[in-house]
Amino acid sequence: MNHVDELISASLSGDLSDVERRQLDMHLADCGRCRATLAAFADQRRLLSGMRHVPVPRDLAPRVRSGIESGRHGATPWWRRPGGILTLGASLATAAVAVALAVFLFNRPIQVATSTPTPSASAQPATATPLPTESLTPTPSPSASAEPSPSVIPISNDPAGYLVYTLKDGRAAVTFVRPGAAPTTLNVPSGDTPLAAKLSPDGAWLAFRLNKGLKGTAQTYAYAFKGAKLVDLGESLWAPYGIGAEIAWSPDSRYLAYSLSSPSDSRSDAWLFAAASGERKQLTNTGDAFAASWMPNDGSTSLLWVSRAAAQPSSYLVAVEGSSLPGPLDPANGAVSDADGFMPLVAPDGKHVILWRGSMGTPGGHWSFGQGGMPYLASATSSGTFDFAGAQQLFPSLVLVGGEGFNGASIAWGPDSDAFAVWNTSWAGQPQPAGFPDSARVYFGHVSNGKLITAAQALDSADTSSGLGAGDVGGSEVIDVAMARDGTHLALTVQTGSGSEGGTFGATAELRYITRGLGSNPDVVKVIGSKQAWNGPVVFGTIVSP
Amino acid sequence: MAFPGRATAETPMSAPRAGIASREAAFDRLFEEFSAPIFNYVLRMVADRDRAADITQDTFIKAYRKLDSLTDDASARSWLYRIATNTAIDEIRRRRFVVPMGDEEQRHAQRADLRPGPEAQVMSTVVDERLQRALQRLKPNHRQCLLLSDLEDMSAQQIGEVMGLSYGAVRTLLCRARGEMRRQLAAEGLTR
Repeated sequence: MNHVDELISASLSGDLSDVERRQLDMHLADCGRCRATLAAFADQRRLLSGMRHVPVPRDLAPRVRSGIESGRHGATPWWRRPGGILTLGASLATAAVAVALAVFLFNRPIQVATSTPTPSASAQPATATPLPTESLTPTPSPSASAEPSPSVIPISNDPAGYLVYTLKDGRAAVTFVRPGAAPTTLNVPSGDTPLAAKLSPDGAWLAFRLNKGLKGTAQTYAYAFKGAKLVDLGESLWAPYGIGAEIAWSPDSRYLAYSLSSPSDSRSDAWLFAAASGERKQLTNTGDAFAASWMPNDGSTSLLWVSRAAAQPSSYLVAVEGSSLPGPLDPANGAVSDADGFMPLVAPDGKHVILWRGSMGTPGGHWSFGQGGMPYLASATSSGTFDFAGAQQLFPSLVLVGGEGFNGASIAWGPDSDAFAVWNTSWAGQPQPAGFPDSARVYFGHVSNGKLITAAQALDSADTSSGLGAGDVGGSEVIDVAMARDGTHLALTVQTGSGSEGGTFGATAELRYITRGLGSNPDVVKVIGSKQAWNGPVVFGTIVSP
Repeated sequence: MAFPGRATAETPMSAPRAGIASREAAFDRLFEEFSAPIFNYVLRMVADRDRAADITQDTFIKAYRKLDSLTDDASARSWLYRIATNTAIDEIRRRRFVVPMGDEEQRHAQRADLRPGPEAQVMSTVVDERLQRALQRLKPNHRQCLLLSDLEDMSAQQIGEVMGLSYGAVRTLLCRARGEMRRQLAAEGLTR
């Protein structure tokens, strides 16, 4: 290393004086070695400046907020922290600021990424082919500037439609697009990108959750197609690892169960909404409770599984009947049944249930599994209960050693009660084997095949990846998975851009309609929607027209 | 509990809250503008997505607490990168005591190969992986100034503000870092 090398190095960042520049130019004219050094340093700079941009984790904003509020580290799992649990006492003044912060700090859509991934040829799903038959083409609406321009694609297996979020010229809009009808503008007062959507079994209501961007929260709504009535069901902290994200209609469509985690103190409770009366009510009062799923209808009483998070979580079957909603209550009191485990997700036909076991904690104020987290599959017995003792791991090949396990994951049953999907897996441990489980993949299994979830059940990597490369968890993120009733078609909402782009448009997502390829046959992917919009989630079923 | 009907950002503010809101708005802007570049810078420092997220989180928590010390908007970038750099260096040092086995840098360089979890997936393309491996073999201060220069496109003056070094010291350090990086890239087959 000599003085000339230093000049060469400084020349790359424009840190040379005029005199130094002339000295360097004269030297380079006569020195091949230094010209090679300049070329090597320039190559190096080009390589480093071209390193891939990785989007920030979606939970960063709420973690920062949580850390500010609590004066301690956020959602970092405690077993990963170098110094163990780090806590700093939050002063009253800090707490006061934090309360205001909760209101003001994260009140914008996410606009943190500086680039929008451009899909490469290898990862780009097949282009949708317009067909003259059934389509999801919206008819023009008065607010055309904010409306999406979805591609025309055929969808089988009774799709009902999908949500679209657009941001144009600073104007945000959330619409519901469905075949053969004008898109419905949902005049939501707050919230932006849709995270989840569930159609009531009777087709009269659409329940959905909207992200609230940097605020780190989500808003839940119910929308009645008849009368275009929108009901605000409340604001909640984001649901890390899918915990607390369930929105579940009772089989008779009378009730919607959901969970809200208070943005002010992180207490979580289950809530109910009665479709007929429009009443919404807090069901639990324990501050650690989450609504899970409903049992199939049996007479006039609806039965809801409610879970209490704890080091050893437990679940309770709560009866809901009549016109008056119960609560607030401790679900353990007067429960019809109970189970060791968390978030029992009962298949629509009631013959199987998936529930979580493991030790839970609240790193950063959010409940998640700390050690041994694993979903299990149990079958119904002839007496109408579940054989929880005989439950088997949903991921049979994964060995829970040394505290390894899932932090959590999103799970959903298909309407056929046989198919199920697992995504957003957060596995805290070494992969078993390499690449499994993969947080970027969607695992799609069937109870009937007996294998449950293995690496082979993953959808093709191109189904979920963006142009940043197959399997690149930073390049895309699966937001939602909806399944058709035939057990071979799925609709994935995959985030493809975080927004910004000079404010031209907001966060973007593709709706990918997948026909699962059997054996070695690749999945067939069709893309729905505009590239400059957030497309999804989709809902399957039948909407009752107003 | 703040649920249906709770006060929102649209609720009229009292005068003291308006002052707090102004401060929060400033922080909001900082987070919006810099969270992605800071995360990427830290990611390239530590080569681990989870650690990078933790460090970025800590960086912004510290920034929030020190926000009153930021008097000049123009220096916000250097100020934030200084906090991020110090937080990353502290974390790297702390892990030396926590991780008792082997060379910490080498361990993480290998980790991208051995563990195709989220961290490894971030480094999934071949060139990116080789680049990251080469970076991980540099001394932390060499890696730091090289990233600030070539990834963040900072001048020697700005790097000096971040690292607390003089202009001349940065030029010397950067030159040494480039020389070392050249050797490491050659070892990775990424040089002419």
